[in-house]
Amino acid sequence: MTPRLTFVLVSYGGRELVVTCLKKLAEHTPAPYDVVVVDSASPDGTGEWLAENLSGELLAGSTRCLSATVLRMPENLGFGAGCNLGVQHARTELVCFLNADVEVRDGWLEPLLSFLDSRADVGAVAPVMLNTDGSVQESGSLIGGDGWCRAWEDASFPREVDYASAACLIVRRKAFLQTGGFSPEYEIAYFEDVDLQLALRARGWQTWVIPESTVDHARHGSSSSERANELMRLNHGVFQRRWADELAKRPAVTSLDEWPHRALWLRDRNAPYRVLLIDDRVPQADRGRGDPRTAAVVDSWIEGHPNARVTFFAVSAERVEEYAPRWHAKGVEIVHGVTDLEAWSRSRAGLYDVIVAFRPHNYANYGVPIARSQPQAIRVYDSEALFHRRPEQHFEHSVDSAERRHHAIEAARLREEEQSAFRWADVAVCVSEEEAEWARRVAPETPAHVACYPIVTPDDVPGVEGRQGIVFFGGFDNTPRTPNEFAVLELAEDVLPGLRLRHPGLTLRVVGADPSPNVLALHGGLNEVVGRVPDPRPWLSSARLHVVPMRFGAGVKIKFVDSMSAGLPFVTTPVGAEGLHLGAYARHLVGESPAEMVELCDRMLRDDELWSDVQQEMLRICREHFSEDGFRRSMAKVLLDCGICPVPR
Amino acid sequence: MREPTSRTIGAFAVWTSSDLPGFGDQLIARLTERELLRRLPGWRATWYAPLGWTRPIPEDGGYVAAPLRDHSSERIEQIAASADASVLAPAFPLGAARADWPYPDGTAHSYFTEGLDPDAERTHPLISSCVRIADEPPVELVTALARQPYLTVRDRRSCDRLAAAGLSGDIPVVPHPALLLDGLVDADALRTRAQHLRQLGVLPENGGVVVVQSAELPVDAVREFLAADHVVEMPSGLVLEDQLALLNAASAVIATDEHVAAASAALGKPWALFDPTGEQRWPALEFGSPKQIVDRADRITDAISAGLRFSAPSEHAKRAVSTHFDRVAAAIEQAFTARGGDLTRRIAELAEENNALRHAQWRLRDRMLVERQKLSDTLAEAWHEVADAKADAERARNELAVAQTQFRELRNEIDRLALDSRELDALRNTKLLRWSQPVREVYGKIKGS
Repeated sequence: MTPRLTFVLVSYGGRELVVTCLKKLAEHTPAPYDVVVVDSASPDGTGEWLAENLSGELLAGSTRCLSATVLRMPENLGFGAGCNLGVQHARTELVCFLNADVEVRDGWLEPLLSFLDSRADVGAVAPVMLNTDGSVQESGSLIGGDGWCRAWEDASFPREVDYASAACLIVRRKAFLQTGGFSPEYEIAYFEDVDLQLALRARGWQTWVIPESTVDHARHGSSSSERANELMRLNHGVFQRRWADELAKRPAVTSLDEWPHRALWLRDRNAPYRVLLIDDRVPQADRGRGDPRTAAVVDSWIEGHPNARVTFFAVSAERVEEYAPRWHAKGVEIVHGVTDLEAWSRSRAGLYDVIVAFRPHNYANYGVPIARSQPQAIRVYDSEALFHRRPEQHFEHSVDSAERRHHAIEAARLREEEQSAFRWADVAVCVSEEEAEWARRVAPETPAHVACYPIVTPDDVPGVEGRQGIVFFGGFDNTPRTPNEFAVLELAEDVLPGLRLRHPGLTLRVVGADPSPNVLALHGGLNEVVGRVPDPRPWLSSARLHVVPMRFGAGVKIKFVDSMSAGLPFVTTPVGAEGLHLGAYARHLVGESPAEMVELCDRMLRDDELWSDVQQEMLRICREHFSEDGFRRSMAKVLLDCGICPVPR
Repeated sequence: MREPTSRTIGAFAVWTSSDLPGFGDQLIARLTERELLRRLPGWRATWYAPLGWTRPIPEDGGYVAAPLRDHSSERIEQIAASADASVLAPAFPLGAARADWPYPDGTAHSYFTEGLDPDAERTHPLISSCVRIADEPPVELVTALARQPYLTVRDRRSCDRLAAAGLSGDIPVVPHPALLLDGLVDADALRTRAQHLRQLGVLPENGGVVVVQSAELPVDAVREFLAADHVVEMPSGLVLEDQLALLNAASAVIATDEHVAAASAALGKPWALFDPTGEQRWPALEFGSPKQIVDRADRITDAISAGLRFSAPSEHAKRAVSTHFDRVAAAIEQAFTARGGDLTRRIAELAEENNALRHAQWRLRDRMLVERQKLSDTLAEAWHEVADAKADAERARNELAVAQTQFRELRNEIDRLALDSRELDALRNTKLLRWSQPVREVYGKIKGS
């Protein structure tokens, strides 16, 4: 195989370090590569020794040879000049500058190459540098207006950086040459790599740090600290002079301790926009409770621009360890466990372009306080559903006067809170046109968009043949008296008995996360409580009918969208059918009383022709109203109203 | 904020000789790509070369070309599917015999002689851009070129050779693409590379430099004629950036090939061409004077002398190259449309994107006005506070002045009293008062009784 990558090492003494570094490289780098070692006139004979010994010695326990092209400079011109000379002898698409005191780890290279291959606009990538004790030494660095740099130690997600140390940095050779390479204006070492990456950015190339890749770095392995400080001081002056205009736009690194928010300004200054999304928990896309929709909304903010800084503020740390990594991989910063909200907000003062608060309680408890430190941010309220409608429904169904009073008070409180949220917002997002109409009435100044839920509807879904039984799909939170618990209990107690009289042996499967004790008690006989499944589609694709006698709830219930996309007709109540665009087909699918539902279910179980007709209509509705394209277009309008023009796909 | 990157619209391929180390091999490939992408923004450009990335070389500067591989129907299909059209832009002349082919074992010779095949080229046309034609071109080449929707050569001799081989029709002659060199490598990068070359001793630290492409030239005569401090031979193995830095640092250039001559002309350097083969002169005549070209080394100073008079290419020649790339881009767009691509839809998408950008910009401006208003209100409040504070300070200053006056008066009074007190004490200490004290006491008692 032809190598894609040339490692360029510059040595000045320390031949043992070079050999150890190359051995580690051979051990942990399965892909073919070239090595160029440039000896910067080592006074201890290192250059001579390397020239004699790096010529094909077979590594113990390996099929690899310790071979390198060794170039010897007549005088010590330093790191930049050495690297420039090394690159001049490289023939590969990529070059990796590697310090001899860096030891690569297993699997370090593949994530870096994959990222470069996926992003043509990225000119350089770096791993996270670890100290010898395993702690993070540097996950990219900030460049301050005073010309000093500060290492960033949060390595939880990949991000574009001001600069990453050339102790281990992979650069596209053509990008490197476009800048002219390391500037010869610098002495021996330090700051020439900072300079290079600013020069790359000036030519449209980005530098990223990829936390999936890590290497160990024993700092100052080949230079004494005293000498290092002297060189730093000298080169700092050169750097300040060369980049005066760029530095003038930045806060000083020395001011970061007094003004911590400036560190985040520096961290995110290259992002085209910075958005903070506030919701109950890290979206768990394989769960119910609106999480899949929240996940889709977050994805839209990510897709708006590949370099956007998307920060997700999770009020609860629920399953954060389990779900955060997949968001980190998409470049999302996850914040959770904030105890002092005011201090946290101030630590990010003025950072965000947009704040999105999901659901009324998060608006009131977090959106408003956080927005005080972000007066410049455009405020978005994503209602997810109109929450005051649920206590209103309870009020209507309740017979106990104390309960009715409680629900009335709760409905009024929530209504007021939601009105306030829509008026607070500069832009509003609802899941159905009906809810958006309500929002426009209470907050006429706020543009209200409808972005429901995107789903991929396959071209082919199983027809009626082979489908059996009925299914109930919905999450339960392991909590009594949730809308889904009410619904499944009504199904089991009031609908199924009548239905089984007409269809003996009719099975029921209850699919959904965290069933409550009352739900678990249904298990047995013809009823199976399946619980949580990784993907509901197989269950929805094999059932004959989805039945949910839903009395409480607001907004579009995602379970029905999932059902429609799987080609599974459902029977539900007017509350369940809200926002689903059923049109004339509602007469086959929507019933009020249990008796009505028995009738509707009976027809759908008996009449194959009607069932097939309904299935086709469901698929059509899905493609028209719940497509990924439609959702993307809706979210693009939200972003545009926030002053952000999403990058065309 | 960085401009958003547009989606890919169409794709074109450039068949290059970038896997060869020559200056022209690198230069033409990069210029062709840049000029076409300037005209076709958002399109994808793919490079092909006979060996491509299977034989990376330092001179390719990290630009990766896919290998053309064998001339099989499967590979032809792959290449045709990879782009809407291919632009042939090798530095070597088309139609050279296999014996003169610059690649081992005739690799990819068929591609540059026969093209793809007539079937594939119906949906994926080939466009020869500023190519050269070898002497006595084979019939396969003439047949292949006859199929091309747009064919240009960079010298009249190539034109004549094709005509002699039976290719009818007018074949435009376009000057060397290097005339559009400006900005291919930016000035800062050229400066850095030149410093680097000085560090390595390729360029001298100081003094005027004449660059010669071949050491066979009478270097001493050149140095003497131009009164140059140094004559530097262009070393092999350098990347294009270094070679351009070298030319850019020169006060004059003696070239031995058309590419260096064209680049020197584009850089505005006095140049001369030493062409003992008689082949390099033809393209050079499209942008230079015949007097700048000689076929004998001993006449090089005459050519230099002419080069000092005619250095920069004419604007007309540059415009001709620019117009040529407009036409190549148009031919590629036409191929895109013929393959079902919808440029009209693209215009509609651009209009939509433009509207979206305007909307976003309007919203931002709206937001900016709100922010500006808030900032101004805050400033106005601050100004009020400052004015109030100033008034308070003024009042305090006046009060202080009054107090200071009173204090001064009080101080004067105290001083006066102190003086009186001191005078009184002095009086009391006089002998007259001390000695008369008993008498005055007696007098007092008598008066009081």
